[in-house]
Amino acid sequence: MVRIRAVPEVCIGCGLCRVWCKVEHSESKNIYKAFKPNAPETVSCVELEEAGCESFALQCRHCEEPLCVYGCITGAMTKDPTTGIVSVDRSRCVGCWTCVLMCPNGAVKPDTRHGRAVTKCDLCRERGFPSCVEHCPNDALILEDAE
Amino acid sequence: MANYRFDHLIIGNSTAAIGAIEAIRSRDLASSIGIVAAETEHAYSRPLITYYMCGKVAENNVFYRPADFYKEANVKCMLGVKAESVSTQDQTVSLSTGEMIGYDKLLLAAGGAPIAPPIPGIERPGVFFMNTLEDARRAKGWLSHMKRAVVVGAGLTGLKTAEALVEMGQEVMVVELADRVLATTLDRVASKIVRRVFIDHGVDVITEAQVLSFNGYEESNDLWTVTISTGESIACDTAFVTIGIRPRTELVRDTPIKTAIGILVDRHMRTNVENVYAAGDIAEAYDPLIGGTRLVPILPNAYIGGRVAGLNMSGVNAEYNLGMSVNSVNFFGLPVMSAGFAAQEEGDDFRVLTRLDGSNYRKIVIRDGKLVGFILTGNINGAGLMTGIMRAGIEVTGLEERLLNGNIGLIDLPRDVVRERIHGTGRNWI
Repeated sequence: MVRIRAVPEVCIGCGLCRVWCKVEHSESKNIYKAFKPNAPETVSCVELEEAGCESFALQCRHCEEPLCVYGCITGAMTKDPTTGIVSVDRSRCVGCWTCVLMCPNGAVKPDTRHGRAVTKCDLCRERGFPSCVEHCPNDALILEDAE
Repeated sequence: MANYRFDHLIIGNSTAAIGAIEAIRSRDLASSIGIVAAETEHAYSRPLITYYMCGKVAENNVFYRPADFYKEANVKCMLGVKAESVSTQDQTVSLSTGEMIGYDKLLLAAGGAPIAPPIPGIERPGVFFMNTLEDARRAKGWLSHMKRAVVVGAGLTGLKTAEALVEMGQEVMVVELADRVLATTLDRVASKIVRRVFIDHGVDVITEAQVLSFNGYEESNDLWTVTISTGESIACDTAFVTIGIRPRTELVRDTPIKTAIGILVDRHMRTNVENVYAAGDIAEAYDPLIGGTRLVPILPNAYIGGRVAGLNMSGVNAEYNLGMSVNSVNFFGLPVMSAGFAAQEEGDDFRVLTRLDGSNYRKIVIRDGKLVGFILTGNINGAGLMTGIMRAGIEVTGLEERLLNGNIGLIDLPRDVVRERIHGTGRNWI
């Protein structure tokens, strides 16, 4: 099972995970272009949680019992039986937000760009390796790949 | 003698059935699975039929699983076949084809039938239910040359039907018996917000009224007017009866299987009779918030109940602990969510806190320091986390303000919970 795990003990709350997640999910996928004033809106699938001096970054846990998948009214949200990756087929999502309500960690969010689809961590499958993990300066995000 | 025998026989071909099949197949590929269902369709999503009717979702996207799902899962389908009766003694099911099928384990997942009140004229052309894909298909064809529709019943199905009708350019009136729309899932404030959205989209909403008769033209018998209890006659050419569904318990008539409103099941989704399980809209299952059984006819619970049944049918000890009500729906772009004791008012053991700002409404219901219900309209920040808090029974004393604002994070929860959510596999929910 593949997923990203936070290491709160060494997270410094810099927010670069969010920055790079947004780059990866932008149209240009280029950090010089993605945040320009007239660049198309992009989204982050990782949430930086902070309280006092504690912090960690949280994204989809790709749960073994994925309640978002079980709640999905269309069949757009699926868990790959081989890789265990939970992903959403945006073309089939109608924006009822049942998955948003079902995710106990708050890791599925309405996609502010469309209003009719959700966004969640896709483990940067297009890219190959999760950008947030690669760019975390303090190893506070690690990629787990365990049976 | 039975014509066939299956290790797992499932009656019904909707969400609970799919949940059970996916659970069984996650455990073994060899056992035989058979499905008997009255509808001829491949498994489709019932909540999508209003989307299909108005054209927002194409017919091939109404299907809940890919077309080759049953083939891949090695399931023998008997569609368009009605299960007439069950013999728990012989472990057989009699079909409308005259055949008899044996089972080792039986799952009753035949769902609910739309309630058809004995209103004169309910059988007229132009009066529809909104329960099956075929209902939606027939209504879609009919509506292509119609203008004015009346929707009877302002529950989830009724309001999603009304919304779809508006999208189709129809003039729409909603008639509801209760004093507000979505009376079972929302309180007065949230209900008013939803009603306002409909009124803003040109829908007339009449509450505390019922339909007395569907009147037709003499020559064609087609629907012409609807007479309601206020004394008015409303001109219309189409009507939808969406006042609710009732579990299809007739399936177990003359069996020792216990029913109340639905088929009663324990926390393993087992009925009182050995080897017989029930899940989905037909079942009356455990709701941990009320500590007893109740009907919660919603898709997530149908899937999860089906899954728990399927796991137990495969010999895995799984418990149904997620049977509380959770609803998320979108009306004309306004998200509306409710969970648990959502409509609960302050009093007895319940503490109720609310925040209202235009159409953004947040309400939390607390009992013994724990979140047992909430409503969110507009601002739905933190919704999933709140459901998770409610399901896990986490103490929320001191977090009330964050819950009301929506700026609650996992980091605000107790350390052991945070640790478990970061390190856990998400296996413990079932």
